[in-house]
Amino acid sequence: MSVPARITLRERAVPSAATALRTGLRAFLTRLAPDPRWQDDVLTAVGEAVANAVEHAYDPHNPGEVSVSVRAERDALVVEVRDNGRFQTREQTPGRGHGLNIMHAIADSVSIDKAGGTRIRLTFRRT
Amino acid sequence: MNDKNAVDVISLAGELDIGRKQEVRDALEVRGPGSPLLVDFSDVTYADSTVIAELLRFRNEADHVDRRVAVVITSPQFDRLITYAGLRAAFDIFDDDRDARAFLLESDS
Repeated sequence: MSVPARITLRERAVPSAATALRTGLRAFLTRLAPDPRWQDDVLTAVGEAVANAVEHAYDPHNPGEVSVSVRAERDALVVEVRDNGRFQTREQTPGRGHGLNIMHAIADSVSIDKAGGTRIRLTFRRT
Repeated sequence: MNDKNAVDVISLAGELDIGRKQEVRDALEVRGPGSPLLVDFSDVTYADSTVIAELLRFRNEADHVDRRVAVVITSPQFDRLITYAGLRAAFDIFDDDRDARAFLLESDS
């Protein structure tokens, strides 16, 4: 069975989206690379980007969309997490704010584009 | 009279992400002075930073009423999450329930 080179997953940016998007991404990664540690690290970093979108992109009473687009290249996996809302890093709960640190600790590169919503682009070297 | 061998255990299981934030918050409640607290995440298979935030709040609340906290984590993903967040030193983490209990009871004696 051939492995698709790319996939895009979309959900409403509500808390349950994190589980739905992770399930879809996990299925893709499982077919792409057998290393469970690498899979877990990708899921962890992408999960933080998704959680940021769920928490900060939209009015909770009127959530828009969050999407996860994944492109498998020969030596790397490129993941973009997008929303169309406002970007807000300020955390309301003491102790929050670790998401970006975690993304930087795991991904080989992290870029954030805040024009017209937020696009977080994560690149992971493939094992 | 306090039971010197008593430990209050809070257990959570499954995948803990932002979708279960309120459940985690409700479970991690100190409820005043008492025995040492063991947070058992041994059946947790995935966690994100919302859990870390709740665990930090819980630890701070426990500190205020002088209750020691030990955390059991067996998931490699969860264990690395703590490291990636730079918070390994913030918690007393064990991969075994018996070691965590021994730590709490020794600390409390």
